[in-house]
Amino acid sequence: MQFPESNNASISLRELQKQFWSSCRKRENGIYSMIRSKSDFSPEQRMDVYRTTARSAHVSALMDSFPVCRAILGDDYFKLLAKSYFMQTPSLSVDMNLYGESFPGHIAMLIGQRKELKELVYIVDLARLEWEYQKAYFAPNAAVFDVDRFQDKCRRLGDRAVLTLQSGISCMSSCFRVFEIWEMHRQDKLEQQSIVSNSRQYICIYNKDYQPLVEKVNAGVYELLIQIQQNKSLAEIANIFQGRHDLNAALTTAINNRWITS
Amino acid sequence: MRSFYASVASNTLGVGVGLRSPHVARILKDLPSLDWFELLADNHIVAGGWARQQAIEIAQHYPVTMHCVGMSIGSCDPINFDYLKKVKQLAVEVQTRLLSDHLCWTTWNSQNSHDLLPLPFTEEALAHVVDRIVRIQDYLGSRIAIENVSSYLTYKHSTIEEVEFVNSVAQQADCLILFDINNLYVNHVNNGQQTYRYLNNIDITRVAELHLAGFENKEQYVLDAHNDTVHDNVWALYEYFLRRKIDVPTLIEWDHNIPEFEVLYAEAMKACQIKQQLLREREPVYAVS
Ligand SMILES: [Fe+2]
Repeated sequence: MQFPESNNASISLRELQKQFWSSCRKRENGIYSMIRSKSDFSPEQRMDVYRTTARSAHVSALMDSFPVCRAILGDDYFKLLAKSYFMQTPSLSVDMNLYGESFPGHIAMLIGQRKELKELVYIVDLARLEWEYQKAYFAPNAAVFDVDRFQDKCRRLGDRAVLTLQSGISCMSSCFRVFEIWEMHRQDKLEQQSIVSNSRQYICIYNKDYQPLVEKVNAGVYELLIQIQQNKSLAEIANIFQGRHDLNAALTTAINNRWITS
Repeated sequence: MRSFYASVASNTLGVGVGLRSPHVARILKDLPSLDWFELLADNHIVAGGWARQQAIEIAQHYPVTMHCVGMSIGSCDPINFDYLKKVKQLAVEVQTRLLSDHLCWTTWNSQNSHDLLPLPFTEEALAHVVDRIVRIQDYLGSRIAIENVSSYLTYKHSTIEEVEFVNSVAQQADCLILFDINNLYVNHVNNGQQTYRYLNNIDITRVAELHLAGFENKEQYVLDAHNDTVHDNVWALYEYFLRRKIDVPTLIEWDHNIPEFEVLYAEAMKACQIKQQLLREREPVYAVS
């Protein structure tokens, strides 16, 4: 392929990087005239190496972060979804582990568009669980709950005392049995299970002794964690809990598991 | 420039391998006889969890160096000081012997390619890269080493030979060079890079570490895939370089299709044997009367 000779000497570094990037992301061809070439390996083919490498790196990152979704969808179909996500969503962080936060949302959007996904509505919640699990893997290690510090805080602030969640902890609820599906796939047990849960399922994902853990919790504990996340004071939480859940039991569970800090 | 990292000079290190997650438990259990490990810094600068703890535990048993991919040294984006802060914290924690990144760019307009993209070798790029390395080193409080990258293209408007570009960056920024011999070979196949000219001209006073790795033959080009043993042609170039400078730490890299630790270990031992053979050749032979 022949290209018109351009005045390459005037191309600034910034312009070159802009052209390179557009070629990588949008297959624009402005960069081709700047690339030296031998006839058997054209500028377009050379840029294809970079396009493929970048795409594979992002797709691999998603495959690592969502292994259960990948197992359910199959490698080929998962890669198709991951590629469509990559085309729409560039990585905005130097940390590759942070790539894929909006992937569950991307799947949710596709469920509305692709009939082959209609039966797999639960996979959106499963993807959310997998994302939180990955976040917990890299989260700071949980500190021990300091009872003295907590009591001191309560003495000083009374009803206005606010608890905080450990970083890396998250909770979610689902009307599907995502916990069981997730656990079954992690243990490589592929039994047929009922997908829909009889009652809403509450799940807590956290980090303990350098490892991420996933646990089913009751509605009270879930409510407590959500309210703490929203910076509600203990008094406000007590109000919300009145007659609905046992606050003491929920607090005990949360403190014993190091889900909240003092 | 003074370094606040470990006081032992990196050239006292021998041959090491890149630390990879599937090997960590085995290494911590058996403590194999190896001179050092290179940490892929980006895998370990996370806030906590096992990924960070791995680096800390390995550093309790072995000297370590830190190899980064996120500085985006040649980018036109602002320097990412949040990233450098995390790198610096881990560097102090594990007492790294050397901190390195690549002579390339990875970001555009705050978007990250997670790939090592090639720079043009021009006066403008040289000045740009030197200025950024000086600022990065000032922030880190230590010299870094910059690595020559593998590439699949060169630019028509490059006016400087790659080896001269690398030397000039190192001299003007007062930084070190991490010389990847596999990358040199990959660029020879893909872009016609002249290997021996490069080996003869690289500024050996600044070469602080060597990288060796395997590539994948794609017929039309070779991909720097780090998924195989070191190729014989690369071993030959390695030996040639050692004849110029032998007291340089050598590292075996392996990033994809990661094999059993023994395979990496055997590659490291091969590098040791080449070094020892060359050292023996240098010993004077005395006549016995
Ligand atoms: Fe390398």
